[in-house]
This record gives sequence, structure tokens and C-alpha cells, in this order.
Amino acid sequence: MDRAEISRRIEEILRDQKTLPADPIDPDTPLETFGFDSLDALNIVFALEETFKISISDDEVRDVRSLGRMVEIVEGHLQS
Amino acid sequence: MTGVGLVSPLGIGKAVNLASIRAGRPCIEPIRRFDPSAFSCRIAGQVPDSAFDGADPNLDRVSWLAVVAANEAAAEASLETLTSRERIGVVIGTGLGGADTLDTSYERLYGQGNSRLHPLSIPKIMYNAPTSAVSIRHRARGPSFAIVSACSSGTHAIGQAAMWIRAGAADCVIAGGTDAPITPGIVRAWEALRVLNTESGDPATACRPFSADRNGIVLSEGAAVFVLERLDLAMARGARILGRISGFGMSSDAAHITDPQSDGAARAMRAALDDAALSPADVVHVNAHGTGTKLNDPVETRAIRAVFGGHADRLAVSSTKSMHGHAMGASGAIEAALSLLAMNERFVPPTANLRAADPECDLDYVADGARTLEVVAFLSNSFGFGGMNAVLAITHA
Repeated sequence: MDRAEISRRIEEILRDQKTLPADPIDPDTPLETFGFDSLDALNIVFALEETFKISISDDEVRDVRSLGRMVEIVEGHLQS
Repeated sequence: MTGVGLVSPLGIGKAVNLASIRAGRPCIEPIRRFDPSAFSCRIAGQVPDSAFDGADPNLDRVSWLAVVAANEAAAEASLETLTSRERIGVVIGTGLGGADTLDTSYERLYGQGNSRLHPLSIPKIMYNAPTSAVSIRHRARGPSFAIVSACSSGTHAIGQAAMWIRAGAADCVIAGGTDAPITPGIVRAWEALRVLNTESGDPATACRPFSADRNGIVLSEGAAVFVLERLDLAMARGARILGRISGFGMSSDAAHITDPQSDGAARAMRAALDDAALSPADVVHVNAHGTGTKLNDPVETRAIRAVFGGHADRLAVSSTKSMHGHAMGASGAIEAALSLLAMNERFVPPTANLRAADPECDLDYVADGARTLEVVAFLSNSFGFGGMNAVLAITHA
């Protein structure tokens, strides 16, 4: 799965959680900017694990702060 | 009481619930939330699926039902106009909490062997989740907790709310009961107690409280929530008073974990009458616990006779469970709400499906359909497993 496809699927997960602007999500914008709170972040991590069949560590959970960072985490797991 | 909301197998909201009990229309159906074909009990009272349109995925069914009922009650009471939010409390009773989430999680863990559970499982399962969901949505910043006393939970919660107001702990309390126990695990667990209805005929006639041929409990789900206010403050702001919680009685059987005792039930009814300064002759109607089990119905009948003496034969005693089933911790709140709505429409709800009464059940159970009657005071009985009894005495505004 290439980086663009990972990003597209994560964007879908984010849009399932919350109604977001129609524009593409900027990879560096912090999730809080869109109104995501700590519970939303847990729901997102759960959805990432289910979608990509990966297991995200507690340390990585703390790092789930933007679309770009999530793509890196998922990509790292898929390559390993 | 300045607001009431309910969602039950009879429908969503006061109007449809009122129409159903006026028509004496039972709303028990085949279980549709899972395939019940391998179960001995295959029927239940289920709220319409549309009650969950727009439901918050972070809440279990049990909490969402409480939110639906609370929203209706709050709208009727114009709760948003109260400025002192720290004087508004919330107390919601539930017998089984987030049973659906618990069941789904266990199925995933033990059934599918998937060790990854939903991250919000704990906040969805916890018994105070319904109270919290209502508190957050209505910005109620006063006292709040949940009450757990099996089938008496909702009644205990409403009584507790009245006590908070009397004690000065709050000026306004959002109070009621909620439960959503129609899950494979919970139905199996109830089956093991052998008190569930196992008939395969017409589900509408399955629940027959006080009948000679009654065949046990029909499980159901739902919620009813009231807005209670200190009377002088409610009157000062011009709120419409729907009725008054005039008395609240509690007792424990302290005898057996599942077998009800008429002495405990009678003591709770007497305590409610004493608290309300009512004499037995003042009471026109009793919304009975009336589960339709072999044990409950004659025991409750004896308790009513013990409390009311000769006046017992003049009481209109109804079991609305015959129509909506047994919604566990929500049932007491649903029943108080139905009898309150009926009182304000000048009738008493019927006991559906009662053709030939058990000889040990010899009161007037309003078997012939809703009855036009001027009710000035009624009792709403709840007698929970564990021997926990709670009775509300409600009077006309």
C-alpha cells in the first residue's frame, strides 16, 4: 500500500469521526484544530488498528497528533 | 414534576405511549436485535429502531435511551431557562448498565479471540454513564450519581431526587431509570433463572400479569426521565406542574435474593403513604410491580390487601408491564410516567391480556381496558431482586 493510499484511508477514518471541511486535510495541522479530543484520538487509534491490521503502542498513541504523523506511524508498521 | 419524557416498546415520546396504554395495546414482538431461534425465550419489548437515529456512538444503548427521555422531559420543563445550573442534579437508575457493550466486548474477546476491545468500552459500560450523559448534555452541575437496585432502580432514583430537593441539596433534579438488556448474554442469563416467558404463540398476549395462566417475565428496554423541582420555585417561574411526588417509601425484605416477600412490599407501600400523609382511602390507583411471574403477583396482591384493608377492593390496580414488558431498572420510572400521564388525562391504564385471574390474585386489575377515572393519588410499586422495595406516592397537581 503506498503512502497516498494510506493517507486517503486515514482521511476517511477522520471524516467518519467528525464532519470536517471538504478541502483536503493538511498533513501538519494538529488534530485539535479540527475539534478532536482525547476520546476521539482513542477512537481514531482503534480504527487505524482495525483498518490496517496493526498494533499501535502506547508511546505511538501519544504521537497521534496530525494526519502526516499518522501516515508515518502506519507506514512504519506496514513496512516492518 | 415539571417535565416527563419516555421511550419504551410502546413508542418514542409521551403522545404515542399514552395512546398505546389508552388502547391497551401490548407492544411485545419477536426479538429482532439478534437471532433468537436457539433461545427458549424469543420475544421482548423493544424500542423502535428510530430511537437510535443520530445516536452518539460513544454511548451504549442504555445511556442513549436516557438521553432521549431526558431531552423530552427537559424540553417540557423549559430546563434551559434555569440559570443556576449548579443547583440542578441528575440521578438515573439502571439495573444492568451498558449490557450491550459488555456483551459485544465479551463476544469479541472470547468468541472471536480478538483481544483488542473498543477503547471506550469502560465509559460505555459503567453504571453511571447514563447519569453522566444526561448531566453533560443539560449542563446540570449539581449532585449526580447512579442508583442500582435491580428492578427498583428507577423508582429509587426518583425517590432519591425528591429527597435531595427536600434536603436542600438541589432545587431541580433530572431523575429516572433506563435499561437496555436485550442482548444474547443477558437473555441467556435470565433464561437460566427460569422466570422468562417461553411461549411461542402471539407475542402480544404473552405477558399476562395476575392471570391464572401467566407464563413469566417478558424482558424489555426503555427509559423514563422526570424533571423534579422544588414546588415554590417551579410555581414562581410559572412552570406547569404535572403532578407531585408526595411520598416515597423504601424497605428491604432481608429474606431471599429472588423470592419476593409480601411483608417487605407492604412496608414500602405504608412508608410511602405515611411520607405523603395519605390514608389508604385517599389512593385510587396502584401501578403494580406486576411482573407476571408465578411468585410476584400473589405476593404483591397480599401486600396490597395488607396495606389497604377493605379499601383494596375499591383500588384500580394495573400492571402496564402487560403492554411494555419488564424494562428492569427503567420499569418503575416508565410505570410512574404512564400512570402520571393517564392521571392527567383522567383515566387509569389497563392490565392487558387478563382474562381469567389467578384465584390468589383477587383485586380489580382493570382488565377491561383503560378506565375513565378521576385519580387524585396513586402508588407506583417496584420490588427488585435482592429484596429491594421502592414505592412512590404521586398526587395530582
